[in-house]
Amino acid sequence: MTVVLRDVRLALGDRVVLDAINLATPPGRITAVVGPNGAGKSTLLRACAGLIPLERGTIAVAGRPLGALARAELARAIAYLPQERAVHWPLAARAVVALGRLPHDDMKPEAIDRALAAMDIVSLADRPVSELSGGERARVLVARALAQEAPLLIADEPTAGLDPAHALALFSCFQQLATEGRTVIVALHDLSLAARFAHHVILLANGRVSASGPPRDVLTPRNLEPAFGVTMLCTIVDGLPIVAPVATLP
Amino acid sequence: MKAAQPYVMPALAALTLVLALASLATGPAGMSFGGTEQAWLIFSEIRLPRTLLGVLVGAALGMSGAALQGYLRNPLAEPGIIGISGGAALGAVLAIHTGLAASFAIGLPLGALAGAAGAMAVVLWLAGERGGPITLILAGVAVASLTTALIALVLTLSQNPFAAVEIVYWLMGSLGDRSMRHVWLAAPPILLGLVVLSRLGRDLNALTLGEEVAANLGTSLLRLRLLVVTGTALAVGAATAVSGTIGFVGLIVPHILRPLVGHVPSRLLPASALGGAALVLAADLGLRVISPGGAMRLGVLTALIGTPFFVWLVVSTRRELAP
Repeated sequence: MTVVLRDVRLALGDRVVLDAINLATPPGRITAVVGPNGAGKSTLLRACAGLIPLERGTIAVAGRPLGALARAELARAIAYLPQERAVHWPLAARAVVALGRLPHDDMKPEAIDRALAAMDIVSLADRPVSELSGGERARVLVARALAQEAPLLIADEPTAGLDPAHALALFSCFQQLATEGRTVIVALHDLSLAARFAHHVILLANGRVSASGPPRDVLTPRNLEPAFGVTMLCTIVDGLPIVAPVATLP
Repeated sequence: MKAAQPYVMPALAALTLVLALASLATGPAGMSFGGTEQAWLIFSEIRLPRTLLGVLVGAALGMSGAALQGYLRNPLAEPGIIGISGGAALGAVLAIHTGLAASFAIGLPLGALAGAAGAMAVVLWLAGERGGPITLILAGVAVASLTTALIALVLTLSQNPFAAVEIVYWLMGSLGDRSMRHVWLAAPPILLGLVVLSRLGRDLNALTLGEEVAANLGTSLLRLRLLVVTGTALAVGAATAVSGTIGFVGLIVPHILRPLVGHVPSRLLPASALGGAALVLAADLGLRVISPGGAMRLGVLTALIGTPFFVWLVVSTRRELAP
């Protein structure tokens, strides 16, 4: 599903959080949104999911502006995974994942099983989420979004709290979705993961795009150091890109 | 925690049925079925309305409690928290005070229904067009406090001591001395309210993951709030109109049943309707057995049962929160 943002401007209260955002992502691609805290990453993702109104500009999916889609169509087109990981009742993990089927009005067990397997939580399926660790709960919530089987997946820092093995597994899963022709937009702080798995990276700073393009063009010390205020090590190890913060800039 | 138990609904339905039959068979006049015309009169004019109202009122309180706890995602929520029962009580009290209640048979319940509708309108207006559950709680608490204050004001202004006593007695809640007219008046709004609330299961389930995910799963939060409040106002407003205020049912019943339905909000709705009916029938039965003279009131008994439960709830929550 193609996602096109054109001149997006968005304010929360009196504060302009995003301004002059342009982006076009074709199907089958992973787009990573990176930037320091407060840069507007989460707001951008929420806007793409149709959860907050824009002040100016348009966001279109598959050629149609978000506002033109009915609520049910939107729910089938976009799976949104917020950073917040609240589960308000101690449901069984499987019951949480099954919530992802609500937009389809079916319980399609294959979709639920596939999502459980993809997140390596089959053995936890019958446990209440209240008894799971933070990382396990995070995987249950990703599985909920996967079970939604939407052509566009928007995930806000899905790797936070995951161990390295599960973080890598999550991105392999995103890669799999992309090869199936789906679109993934993901905000993250792990720049090495962005460098390795994303097809396209947007660097946000103060609500504006400060760099946008393929990872090797965007994730460079020249772009990253002023945005994050730290010196960055950008290198290649065994053919894989590594981007790591080194020290705070004076 | 276990997954949902398949026997919960049949068991609750059987329990409610048994209690309803026991309620029909209990009263000061000993009678056997298939008896005289007089026995039939007692049955159809006194016991049947009492039993039917017990079922309707209990179901209204139980399901509204489950819906509100699901919507507010707070196990301590109950129908009183959004000001509906307060509004109904104020309407009834005004009906007694102004003499409307004495002028025709269903004057009091009509006053209470008007009060519930007024409270609903004010709460929805105060809660605004955008806000989430928090603004609804704030609006509800404001309306509930205001109605409490206004009821106290009407009581102190009441020059007729009999009216004051009647008000106090009515506020304590009862199912006694009700006729089929009360049933016909309360049944349509209660049943309509139950239908509205029972259809919210999907959205309440989605809300388990928070408001943003619920919206992403296709839930309109504004519509959901409107339906939760309207359904509760219809069901609890009508229930309060014919029975007075009966506390704690809407709080305890969903709380007890939640683990038995796997904590799933949609399954809790019908279970709480049955559980509420069973609890009100049981309390009303107990009342007739321990205090046949009518000195004890239903609302007082449910509060007497409810308070220890509430204490237990506080203690167990404290234990859960302890390191």
